[in-house]
Amino acid sequence: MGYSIGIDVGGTFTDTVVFNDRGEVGIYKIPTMTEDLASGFMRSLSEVASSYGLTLQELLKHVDKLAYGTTFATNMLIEGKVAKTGLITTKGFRDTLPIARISREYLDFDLQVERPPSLLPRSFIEEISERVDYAGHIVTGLDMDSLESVIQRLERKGVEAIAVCLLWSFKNSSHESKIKKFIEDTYPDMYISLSTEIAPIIGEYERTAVVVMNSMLGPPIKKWLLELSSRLKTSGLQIPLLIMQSSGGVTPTEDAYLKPVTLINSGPAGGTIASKYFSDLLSLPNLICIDMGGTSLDVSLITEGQYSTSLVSRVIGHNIFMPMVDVHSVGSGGGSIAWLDMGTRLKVGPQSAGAQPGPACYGRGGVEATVTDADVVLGRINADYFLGGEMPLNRDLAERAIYEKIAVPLGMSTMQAAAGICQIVDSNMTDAIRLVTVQKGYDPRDYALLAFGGAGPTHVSALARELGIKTVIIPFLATAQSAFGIVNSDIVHNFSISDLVELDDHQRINQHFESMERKGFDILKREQINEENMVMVRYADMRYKGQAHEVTMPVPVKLLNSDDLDQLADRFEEKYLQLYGSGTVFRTAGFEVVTLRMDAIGKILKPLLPQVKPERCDPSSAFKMQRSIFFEEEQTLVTTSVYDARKLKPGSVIEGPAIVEYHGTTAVIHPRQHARVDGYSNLIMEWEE
Amino acid sequence: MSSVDPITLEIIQNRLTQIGREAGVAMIRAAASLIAVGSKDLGFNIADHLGRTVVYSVWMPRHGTTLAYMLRSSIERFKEEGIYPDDMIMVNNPYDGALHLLDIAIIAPVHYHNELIAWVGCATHHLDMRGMRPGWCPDATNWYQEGIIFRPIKIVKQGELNEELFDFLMYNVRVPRQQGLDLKAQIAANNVAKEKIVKLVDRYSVDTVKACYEEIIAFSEAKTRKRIRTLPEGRYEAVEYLDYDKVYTLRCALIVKGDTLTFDFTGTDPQAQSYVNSALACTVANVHNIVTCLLIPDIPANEGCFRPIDVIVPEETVLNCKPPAPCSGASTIGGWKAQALAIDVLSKALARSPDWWRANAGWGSGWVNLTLSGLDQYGRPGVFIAMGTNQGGGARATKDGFDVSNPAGSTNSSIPNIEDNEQRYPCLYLKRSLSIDSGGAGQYRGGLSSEMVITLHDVSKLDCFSGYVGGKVPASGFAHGLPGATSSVVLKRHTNVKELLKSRVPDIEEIEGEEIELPQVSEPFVIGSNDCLYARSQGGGGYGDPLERTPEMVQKDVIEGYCSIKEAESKYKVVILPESLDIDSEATQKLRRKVKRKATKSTVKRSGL
Repeated sequence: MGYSIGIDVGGTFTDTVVFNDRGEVGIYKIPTMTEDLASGFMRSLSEVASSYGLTLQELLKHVDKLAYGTTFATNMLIEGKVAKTGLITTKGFRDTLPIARISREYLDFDLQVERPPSLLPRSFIEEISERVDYAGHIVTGLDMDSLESVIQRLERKGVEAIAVCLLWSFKNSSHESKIKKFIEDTYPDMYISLSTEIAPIIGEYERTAVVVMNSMLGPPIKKWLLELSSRLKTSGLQIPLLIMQSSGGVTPTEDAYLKPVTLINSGPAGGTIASKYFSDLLSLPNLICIDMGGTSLDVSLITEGQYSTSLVSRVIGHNIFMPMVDVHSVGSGGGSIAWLDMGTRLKVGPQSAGAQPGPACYGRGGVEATVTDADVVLGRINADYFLGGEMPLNRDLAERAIYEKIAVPLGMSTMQAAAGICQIVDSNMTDAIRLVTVQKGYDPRDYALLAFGGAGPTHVSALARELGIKTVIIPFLATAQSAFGIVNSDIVHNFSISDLVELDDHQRINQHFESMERKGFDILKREQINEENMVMVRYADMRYKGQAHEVTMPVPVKLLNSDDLDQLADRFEEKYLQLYGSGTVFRTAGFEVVTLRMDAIGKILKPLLPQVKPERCDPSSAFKMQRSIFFEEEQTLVTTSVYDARKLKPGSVIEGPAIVEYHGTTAVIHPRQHARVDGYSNLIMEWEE
Repeated sequence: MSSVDPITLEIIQNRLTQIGREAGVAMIRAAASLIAVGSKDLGFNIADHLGRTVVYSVWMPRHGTTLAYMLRSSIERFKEEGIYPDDMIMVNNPYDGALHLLDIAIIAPVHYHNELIAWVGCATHHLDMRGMRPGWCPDATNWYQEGIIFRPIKIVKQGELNEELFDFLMYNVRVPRQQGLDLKAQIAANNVAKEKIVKLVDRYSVDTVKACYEEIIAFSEAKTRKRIRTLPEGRYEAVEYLDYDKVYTLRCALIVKGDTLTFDFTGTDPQAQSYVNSALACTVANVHNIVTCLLIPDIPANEGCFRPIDVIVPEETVLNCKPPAPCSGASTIGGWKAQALAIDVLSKALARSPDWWRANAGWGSGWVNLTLSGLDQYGRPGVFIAMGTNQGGGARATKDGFDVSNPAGSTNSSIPNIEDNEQRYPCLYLKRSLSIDSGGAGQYRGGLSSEMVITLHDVSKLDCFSGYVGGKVPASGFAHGLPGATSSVVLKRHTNVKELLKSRVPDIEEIEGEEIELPQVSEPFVIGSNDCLYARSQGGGGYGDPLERTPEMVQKDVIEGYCSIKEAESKYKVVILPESLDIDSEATQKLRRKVKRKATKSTVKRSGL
């Protein structure tokens, strides 16, 4: 028997998903041991082993794939639990990081708002005399004589890690390399990362920020991964541990030591990878994926079968060059607080009751009305079956909070007020979804909506209606979606070359792609991927000559000739017209390519999903109870059937209104919506036309 | 009780604001110049069918007011001829509301089944308008020298680009390739917003959306009036000096009465014969901008916020100039001075209110305008603005000012990376860093400005022009805080910089050559490949008595290099030991006691309160 295991270490819970050769799936949830991650990880595996009646050694011997992702790197940055780090930069540019391109908090008028604090204090930033120009020519050679004293000064301050970012290093990396060589020779214990290794891209602020974060995360993550690998090996694991990256795709552990910054948000990225899996499985090329938890909503997109990736991402208030699966986060969750502005305008969030005191219905002293309270009052959430009944909720407290804080001042009934709270939070979430669709030129009505996380399935249908989306999917692993995505990932290595090239220079473009392909081939070969399992994917970030933003276009994998590039220009203009409307194309400006990118993908083992042939049936065997539920479209309480998700057979057809209760979430099926359970036990809901 | 239910109202208001943002993003993504893109010097407004602003620029706020002026002018101008679905109107006339002629606005009606349901409009700074100089015209003496002026004119007629007009503009400006893309980006932004507003109306009906307009405006008005009532009634006065070709005196009095504010600029000097003037719309826009940022940042900005606010500016003065006075510098000179006055008077009122913590010292403003032009390293003609917005922010009542900031009101602008500049401009930057000791001392320190050193690279010469204010008059301190550093531009001629660069990156002091402190209005000159330019902007003013700053905070500034040991002793009276950087407590106490005794004896004239 072989096992594939995916583990997602979140801030609160660690989710584990296990598949065996027979296609059986297991889901495990334990609290994250934040103080001893390696032990927590081993405990998750022990739990899995014992549920199969195995010892840890017996289980690990038979593990064919073990992959892991986490939000932990992000949390380490937020909490400052990182290595003391020094930065070496070009003389004259010590303040690139503190100045941070001067931007204040995005789109805010308030003069009291503070800029996010600099990643490093000025006293930890050292300058060195050297200069390379825009063409990569050395203007001033590296001052090797002062390098020693620069590093000594940093060492005396107790730094364990050094980051190096020099101007134009991505055009000529020789100075950065010399510094690395020197440090490796003289301070072998020092963790060092170079901007050219992490992000060889034009733009010194974002490049500096990412290499500094990388060095901050390096020592603790390296230490932790080494310990983990050795414990796994001692316990009998015979394959390398794979680490999820923020760009989607896993990488062997050794690679993750060098680029720990890629671990940032790798857990949420796993959720998106899983969504892509469902997109393929269900032949739904366009999916909007939402993960709604207690404090936030994560939104990501699958368009034409692909998730989108951002090349610049905002992490703890700083923009960094790091390809990350686009996961847009807003502060709308079950704990979001409803309040009245000027005593008359109902608002929800961004303040959240969090886990402590939490919504009023938790009975932990919270008095504010939250979204979860509204869901309880409306009857959607079963107060006695929250987290499978492990945490009963107090309905009276929920009612009181909504009555006193919202209903009385607005002169509404408690039900109306609760429905209003849901409508506003739903509307805030709809705006967040619009931001990631319309902003990119996509119409949400061309998508299906896929929901997971604790509160997602409860609200998703209302969002779909508001967005004009017909089909809604609750995946069968809705409560452990990220762990599923992690175990389902291929190995991916991202490459890029930043070079301003005119589009007609096919020779130079071919050269760059070929050099990246060689590198990708070599690294995958080292990782023992067979050639037939290697896939190379190319992109070009292109624009009208002189523009400052690019549109990323896919490029065919072949020796490119001028016809290919003409076609690329045509496709660019088509896309441009679609994004910006008529009268906006400007062909006379000409085209240029700013960055060429390539993903080297190594296809690896995927777990087998359990599937049965669905036969149409009624859901009565899963019937649990009837409950009165308020639906805003009916403006009244409706007697509604409640079903147990575990007992629903593939092929079941449910007419709305109805409720499906999972261990950890509740799906609401509205009136004029019907649902069916497919062969994989996904719940697929559709609005009537 | 409102006619629309509160939930629909909230949804529609959020959606309209969001549309304003999305349109701005579309524009940034499609534009070419680093001003529009890197600096985000752009505005996007949505107005209702009657032309009342419902969504005030979510980007650079002051464009919100000028767009409102230009929309009114456009409606007025086409009253006879008519405005049709899918028309777009272009304006850059300061007397029709433009901030200055370099800011082109494109305004478009939004129709739903041929019914006018809204207006959208965007404005951004263009690199050139065929003035006597590229871009701004710092030595203009009348407005005919400053470039082409468009009163409202249709650039798109019923969906068709007016090619003749587009070509006319492109033929006349110095950088048509970039400006063409920028103009098209503005059209794109309007397209994006129009489509979304039509969808919104399709979803909620014309009547509902129209009813929401009323509510949105009325709500912001009521909330603003309520906030004004928290200010103590009275008259608060301020005076500013504008140093350029000569020193001008500008005055403002804020009268707080009930739930209204009046900003009265009576006493301001007659209009200048230099480009520092500001037309009325620009002055009002900058006052509105500061009210938005300082008094009501939490209230959705729209026409309602400005109904309780009156701005009085006598005609033919620096802040309400009339033709033929030049005013291409209005956006960064006259306009920013209006901001400085508004900050000062409003902070004086705030300091005595429950929201005292909102009060600000003066923000650095003096724009250091170093415009270079000529052929770039690729042999293409170009206009390069080598100095960005790099002032120090004013200290605030409870915290230090921003180090290296955008001006107070331009809350969302940013600066390009040096690598972006060097890829586009034939320059090599030797430095862009904080300017130590440039922040005004105070209990809370004014923000530091930045300084930079550049030399030409891969070209042998460029035309250069420098014109800047703030070389003599600094940003003022508040409540016994001290003023920040003034701005400065130094040219070093025929230097050994290229020789030095062969062995090391030199400090500006090491570079040998003929040193010329550039006057605030320079003659145009040519810089060569061995010349260097040094520029520094203004620091922010300090807040509160520097003696109230704890020695530990001063020490931290010294350790981190924000403040020198010398400055610590002379301004803060804190003695820091040069080797260990420890505080010499005894010497500090003695020094501080001595100064305090002296201060109580004499009546020292203080800035601020």
